[in-house]
Amino acid sequence: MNPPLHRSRKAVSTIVANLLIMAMVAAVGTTLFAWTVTGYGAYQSQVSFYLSDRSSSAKERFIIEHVWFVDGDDDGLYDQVELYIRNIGTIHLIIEEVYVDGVKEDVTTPELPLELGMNQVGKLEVTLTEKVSPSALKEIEILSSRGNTYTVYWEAR
Amino acid sequence: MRLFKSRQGLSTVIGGIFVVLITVSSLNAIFWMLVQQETLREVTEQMNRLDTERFSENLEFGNPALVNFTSSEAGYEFDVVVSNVGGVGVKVARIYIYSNSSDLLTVLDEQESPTVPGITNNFLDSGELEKRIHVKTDRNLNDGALYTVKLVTERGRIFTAEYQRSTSAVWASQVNLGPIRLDLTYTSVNYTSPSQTTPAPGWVVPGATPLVWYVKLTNIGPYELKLLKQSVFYAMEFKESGNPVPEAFFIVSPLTDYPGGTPGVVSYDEDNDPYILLPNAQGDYQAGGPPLIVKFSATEMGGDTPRDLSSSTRYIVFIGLYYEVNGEQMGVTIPFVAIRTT
Repeated sequence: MNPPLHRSRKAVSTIVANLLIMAMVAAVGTTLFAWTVTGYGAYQSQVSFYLSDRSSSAKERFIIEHVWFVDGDDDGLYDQVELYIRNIGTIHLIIEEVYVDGVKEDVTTPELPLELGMNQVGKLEVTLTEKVSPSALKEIEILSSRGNTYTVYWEAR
Repeated sequence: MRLFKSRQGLSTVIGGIFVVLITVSSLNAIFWMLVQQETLREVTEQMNRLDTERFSENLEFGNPALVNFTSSEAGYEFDVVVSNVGGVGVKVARIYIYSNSSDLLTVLDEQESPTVPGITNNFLDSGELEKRIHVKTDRNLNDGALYTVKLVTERGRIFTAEYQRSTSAVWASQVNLGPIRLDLTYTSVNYTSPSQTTPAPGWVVPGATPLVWYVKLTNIGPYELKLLKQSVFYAMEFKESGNPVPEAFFIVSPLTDYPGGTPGVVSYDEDNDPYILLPNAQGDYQAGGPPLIVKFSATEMGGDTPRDLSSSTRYIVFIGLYYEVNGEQMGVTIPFVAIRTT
């Protein structure tokens, strides 16, 4: 009959002890490594998105090269404005919004968003919310999908 | 081999391996971030370079800016004379042409074929002088109106020139009567209305619309002339039969702009704000003094109510000018122009 376990002078054998420590180190190491890799992955993803966004935004350049007010109903007041927008950046451009004197204009031809490739010029016909008197100075602002804006001040004529 | 035979320190080795792996992952992330930052820096640098090139563009128009006009059944052609005085080559991508007297906008891109409107010869090397950009259009710029010609470059710079063909070169005629000369050119008789707020040629004007007439007068005598409030632009209806109806537009203040404008039509004050026609300062009286634009609109003498004309009617116009010279009052009547209404 074997002696009872509690009477042994060793808690666990050397082999079991080593195996336990190795298992613990492996478990902690694997967890730590997985956490690190996941964390760096998430970080890289966020940074990648941020830098890509900034890079795209930096590549974007556009201008309103001409503004032409139109008196469609021949009542002496301008009811429409044509904007000639040129993409001078190194990336395609999407115009999302148009503002005249700070008022967002929703009725446009073609409908927004207006997409322009590199070196392309687009014509946007905007139906004005408020008619414009001849010689009035108007602030016209266009907003791109990347958050860049371009503003011109134009005398209606 | 001893390492694997010995069971002692194996966990330390495994732990070490994990530390190395985590360190390598960190370094990889840092290196990747540096590469990304470098990419962004390169983009920023490239765009800065493009911006610098854009701001280096500098075009100067020749004098005159537009030359070599030709016309045919196919349209009108001319050259825009431009010098590239900037530090980079410039490609003119588009031209806009418009005038204040018309609601027509002409837009011309690079010509796709010789038969369609467009521009050619539109690249200017750095330092290239008196380059002639050839323009083919369906619009005549030699009608005497003031035209704006706007060049847009591929990099997005805009350069603008104005052009007005000398009216004397197009068609000029004058009426001299006593000490007063009237020019009879396309642009010397103009009008404004509530919808035409800047003066435009008044040969065909809207009917049933309040009007202000702008007439250019020159003093070809040796003395100052002060125009009096009796002066009138007198439009006589032209009819084949029946009684014609006259429409008198009396002289109004120089402050007048257009009916309904600010200040609109202002009554003529011959005592405090009269029209004074000055003689030629060098004594060359036939050359004339400085031309003066005189305005007519009021329905009655000294009034400020603008008159209109009937629609779809032809008128023969006389000008009656009452003036004061050397304290004496005189007057002339000048058969002037023939106009019609829409």
